[in-house]
Amino acid sequence: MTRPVASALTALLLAVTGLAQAQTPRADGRRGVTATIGVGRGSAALTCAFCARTGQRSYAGTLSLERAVRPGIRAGVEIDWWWHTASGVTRSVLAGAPVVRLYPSGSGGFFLKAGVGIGRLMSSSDEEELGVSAVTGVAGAGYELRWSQQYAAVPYVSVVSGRGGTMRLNGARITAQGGLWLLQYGMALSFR
Amino acid sequence: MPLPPAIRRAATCGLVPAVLGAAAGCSADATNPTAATEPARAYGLWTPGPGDTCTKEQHDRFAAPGPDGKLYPTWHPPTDPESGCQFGHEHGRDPRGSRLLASVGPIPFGHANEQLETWDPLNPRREDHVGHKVEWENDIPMRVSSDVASPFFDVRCDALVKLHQGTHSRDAFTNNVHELVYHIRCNDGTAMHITMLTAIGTPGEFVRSCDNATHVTVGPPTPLNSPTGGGKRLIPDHECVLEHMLVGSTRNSNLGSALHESWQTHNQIRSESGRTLASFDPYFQVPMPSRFYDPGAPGLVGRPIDMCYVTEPNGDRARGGACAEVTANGQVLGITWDDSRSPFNGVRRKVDINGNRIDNEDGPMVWYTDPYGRNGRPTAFPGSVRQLIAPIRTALNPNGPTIGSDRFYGGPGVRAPN
Repeated sequence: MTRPVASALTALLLAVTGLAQAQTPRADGRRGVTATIGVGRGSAALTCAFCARTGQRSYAGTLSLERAVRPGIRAGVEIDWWWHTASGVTRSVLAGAPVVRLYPSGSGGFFLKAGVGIGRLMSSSDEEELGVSAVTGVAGAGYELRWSQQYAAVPYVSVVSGRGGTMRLNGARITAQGGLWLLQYGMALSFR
Repeated sequence: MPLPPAIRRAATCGLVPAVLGAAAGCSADATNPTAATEPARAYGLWTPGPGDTCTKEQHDRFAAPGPDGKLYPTWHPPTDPESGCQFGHEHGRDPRGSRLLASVGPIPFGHANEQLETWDPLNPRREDHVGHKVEWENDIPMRVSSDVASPFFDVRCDALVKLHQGTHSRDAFTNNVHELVYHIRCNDGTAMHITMLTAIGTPGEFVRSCDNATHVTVGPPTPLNSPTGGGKRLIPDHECVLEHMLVGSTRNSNLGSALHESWQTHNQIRSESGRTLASFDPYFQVPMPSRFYDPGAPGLVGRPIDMCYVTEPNGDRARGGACAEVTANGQVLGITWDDSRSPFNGVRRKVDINGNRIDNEDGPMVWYTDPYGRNGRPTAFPGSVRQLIAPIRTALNPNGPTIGSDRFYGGPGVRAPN
């Protein structure tokens, strides 16, 4: 992670945290910190002018911590990942971002999420390494199927997309306009 | 030799406009052609032979100015589109379909040879006209030779290449230096426009094509100071013909093994300090040449069509395939090596694009090298050749497939020497 991006991310996190602390959540059933762990399938790809448009499919997942900042809005941080290994080559995506979840109907289960952070796609073997880090946006949607005050099942879909990063193969620059892309869907467990 | 006024006027815009259209060669940022003022040595070499119905004047209208302002021969169809006369030879694929032509202009045949006359006047390399062969393809899907990277990329290139690859004479038995023009532009930024004399393998010898191993020493090369280059020239010899073409009654001739030529180049453009700025390795293959090396033949040249009529004491002879077709199983006699009926005329070819590497991140984009692609400097010098190399360092080193394998460049009147 480059220093300017890390600084920007830290500042954004502090801002979100401060915003959250400044709010007094209403009794809407979503007070407190909520953790969400999801696992599913995902497709990831590099993006550039000469990158293949087809993604590589494999396992993917998400991890998030959020708290309510006002009725129908929660804020927190989210990590998305994707992992693929075959023929001695390991490919992965790791992306982190402060996110905001919006519940359009207030107390309903449906939500939309969005955030901006950074992400990295790596592909490596014993001999070679390909990678790109880029500012990424994350967006998605899900539905909380709550079965108790503490637990909910959450089917979700999420997209991470970034660009403007320097893509390198074994240290040699491929392009300064590289990016990454990850689409995933799955089922998450949410608890607080 | 002064140029006739009509040619002089036409040559200011690349190919003769009346024949090929004014748009074909009027925009050329790579070769920067200017009005031709005098003919290059390669201009006007061809004269009609037996069966050729075009005149020398009709042929010489197909000309293009080189970056030195001289007039060079360039690509033309085997049949004159104006008069319908036949030139009897072909230069490969019509370059007007290449997306690169608009930026590089028509290819002047023999410019690197011409510059060698200045760079090293005591050691010239002059090549005939019919050996210049063009091949190109647009939007070529390339391979990325990296397990970690290959699934993620879709690198595509336009390539336009020309090699002097004569496969009708004894020239290549000893001479490893041949003019190569190599234009490539890819969507990952790889781009180079190279004109050079490529040294293919060791001068004075070739490698027997049917075993890909035996080095056959033939004699002194031209020029005598020909450099040793990478790669090799695989050329068939009498042993290949005896083993794979003249066979017993239980099998058919294997002409692919008997007569295949493969000129495997490894080219480097180097700076004055010796640093490699760009390298590329196209292979040029010809499956049915009109010659093979025969140390017992006059001029060392054997003719495949002659072997269609030969029966060895043990009964081995050519069986099936092209010989059976052209001679109607031995019924048609007297087809000579330069007869347009002979299938051994070198009109089928293919090019393996292979690897492309650039290490020129600090530029400049324009280099001037000696005719062999060495001693690159940012400024021109006597005998230098202008080269364009993208100011990048390639990381993916796009590796190309074979192009041209499904094409046939023969036609009415086309025959060896071709």
